[in-house]
Amino acid sequence: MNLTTQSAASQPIKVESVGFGWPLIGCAGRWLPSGASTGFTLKCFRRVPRVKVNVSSTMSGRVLVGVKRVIDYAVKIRVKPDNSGVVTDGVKHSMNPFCEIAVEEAVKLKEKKFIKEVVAVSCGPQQSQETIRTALAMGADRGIHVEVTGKEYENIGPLQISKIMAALAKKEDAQLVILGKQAIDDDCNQTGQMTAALLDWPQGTFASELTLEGDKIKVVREIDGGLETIKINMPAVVTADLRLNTPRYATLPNIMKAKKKKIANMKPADLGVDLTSRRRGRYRGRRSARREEGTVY
Amino acid sequence: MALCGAALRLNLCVDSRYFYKFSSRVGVRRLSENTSSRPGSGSGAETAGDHVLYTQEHFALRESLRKIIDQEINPHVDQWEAEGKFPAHKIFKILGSAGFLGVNKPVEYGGMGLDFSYSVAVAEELGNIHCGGIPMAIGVQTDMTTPALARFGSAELKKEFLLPSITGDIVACLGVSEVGAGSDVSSIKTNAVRKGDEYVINGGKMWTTNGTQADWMCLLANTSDGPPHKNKSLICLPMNLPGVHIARKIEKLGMWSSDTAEVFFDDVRVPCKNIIGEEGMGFTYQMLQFQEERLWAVANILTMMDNVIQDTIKYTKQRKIFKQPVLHNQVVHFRLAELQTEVELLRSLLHCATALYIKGNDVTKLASMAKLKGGRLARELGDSCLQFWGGMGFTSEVMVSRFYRDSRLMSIGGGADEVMLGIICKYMDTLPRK
Repeated sequence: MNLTTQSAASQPIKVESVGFGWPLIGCAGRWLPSGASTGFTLKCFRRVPRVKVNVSSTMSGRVLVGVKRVIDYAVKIRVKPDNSGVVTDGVKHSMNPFCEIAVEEAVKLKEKKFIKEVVAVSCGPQQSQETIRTALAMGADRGIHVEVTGKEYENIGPLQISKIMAALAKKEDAQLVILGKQAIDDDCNQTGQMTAALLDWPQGTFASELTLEGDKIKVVREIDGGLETIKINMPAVVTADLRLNTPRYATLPNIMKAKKKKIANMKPADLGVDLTSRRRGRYRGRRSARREEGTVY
Repeated sequence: MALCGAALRLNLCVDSRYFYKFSSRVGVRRLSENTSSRPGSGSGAETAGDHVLYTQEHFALRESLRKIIDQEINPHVDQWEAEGKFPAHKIFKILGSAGFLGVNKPVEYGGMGLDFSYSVAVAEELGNIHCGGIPMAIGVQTDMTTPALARFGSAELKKEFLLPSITGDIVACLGVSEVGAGSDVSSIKTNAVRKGDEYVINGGKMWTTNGTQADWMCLLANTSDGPPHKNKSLICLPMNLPGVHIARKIEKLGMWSSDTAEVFFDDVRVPCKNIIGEEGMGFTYQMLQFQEERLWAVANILTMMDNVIQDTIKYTKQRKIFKQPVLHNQVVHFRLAELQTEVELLRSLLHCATALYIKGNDVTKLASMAKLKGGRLARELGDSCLQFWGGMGFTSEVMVSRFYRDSRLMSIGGGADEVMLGIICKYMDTLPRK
């Protein structure tokens, strides 16, 4: 007589809500949930937790969110005297607003139990860790800081970031990468798309609504003509648009809890990413344009 | 940022996201000069590691609070100033849910259990609200009505009054000053006579911030006939009891968005268990929290003063008289430099006193000095900056005139300048002996 316990060892956890989990001793094969047939089986009275997971267990349940440290939206930008760029020293920086929306969406997915872990990623100098901490205070579980400093940081662009994000998505076995649609300092709107291309994953850009359905994602996109709804397979890359959600305030208890969450440090070389810029030419700024806010063109 | 400009132009969704709210009113937009200033003075400064008092958590806290202010409070300040009242329950609930009303209160009652430096960080950040009334009202809730309760109240009392005050579900007010007794706290006339298991309260209170909206009052009343410093007690008084009359809302020179009430008590009955701590210790309890109250007020006004200076610079840079900007006149930029110097000195005093306080020292002398200087500097600064603003400064459309009115209270309320001087003299041992 075979003594089989109701462990998951031999069966994939195919997710349906299992009943009580108090199996009855019964005829062979009849009371087994997934219909695997065995000979005589005496099932153990072992309570199986009521499992209701919306994610197929082959997926890791991990979401990668990219957050960028940019000059705060309210700061008045000044061009450097030698016209080589804008003044960043001592200027207030904060998380890119679209990245905040991306973090909020990821945290919402976790709260609804669609995913298990939110990992916040930022590429930049030491101060990028503050941006990661803000993401942690909003509900991300851990952070990854890819250190890029000095000249490399000045020359880095969407292509290099996408390479880093793609490498991390593979390394962390992410099922979803959520990014802001663009950064408010360069307005490139390229990183999400490039990351998807490098990974050969489907992309749902300019998302104003995101729903996970099994192993597919339904994305409502904001396009020129209105709204477009697409269904893409996971793993995928999604970029957040303005109306996706309203980011939550980082509450004081969460700010204090974020102190204990881990931020891993690494360099682009650790991920096998080459940061050489493909860009040519220097920024040639002249006197800043005399535009007043509120001017309609 | 091309995006935000585009968003304004398109004006699609009426989502009140904070980065839509570009007010074109003079004085609201922050300059990069403002934010490139020394660490700790602006919110979210870069060099968190260099600050004498604040850590990264302090700055993260300030950034988060700043978002709430920018999104939920500042857009409506003008309207609330005009109405003479702000929706205390709504605002306190938002702040309470985010954890900002119980920063140094015990964790068992929903507080954060952090030290006073975090309260000071909150106070500094609240100075970014575009008026003085709302920070004052918040300060009453967090650091004037609840400290004694948190320290000395019974568990039952804390559960009934402290916990919901920290979550922002109820509004508190402070009942200490009276028509006949302001600086002279020991001569208050409101009494609470014990009758069986209750106190019967008769009398009245004046200058009650939040008075018209409050759910409970932290009341100081005479409970026995002993010497004036030993016969008072603090009582938690629900404001909806029969006999509590809110006589009028007082019309004031400034702090318009904060409703200030005159309250009367006509045989109000309150259970004896509502007394905070020991009977007769009320005066002492109240005195203990003055240090915190005064440091809090100084922290608040510092940020406001910084902001007024920056607004004045911005205005005078673009305002031309006699073919050049007002700012180019040496008297203007030199005077602003003098004022900024004094603000920095006061800031150093504040941080020094706070640092000593959280280590357990008695900082009464330093706190009194800071309050004294804060009130006087605010008057000087308001007056000088208003002068540089010229005619525009005299209008109700700009921040400086509101600051001029609101900040005048600092030398009067929370311990008048003369009382501060008396305290300092006591520590200097220069008071005439009796």
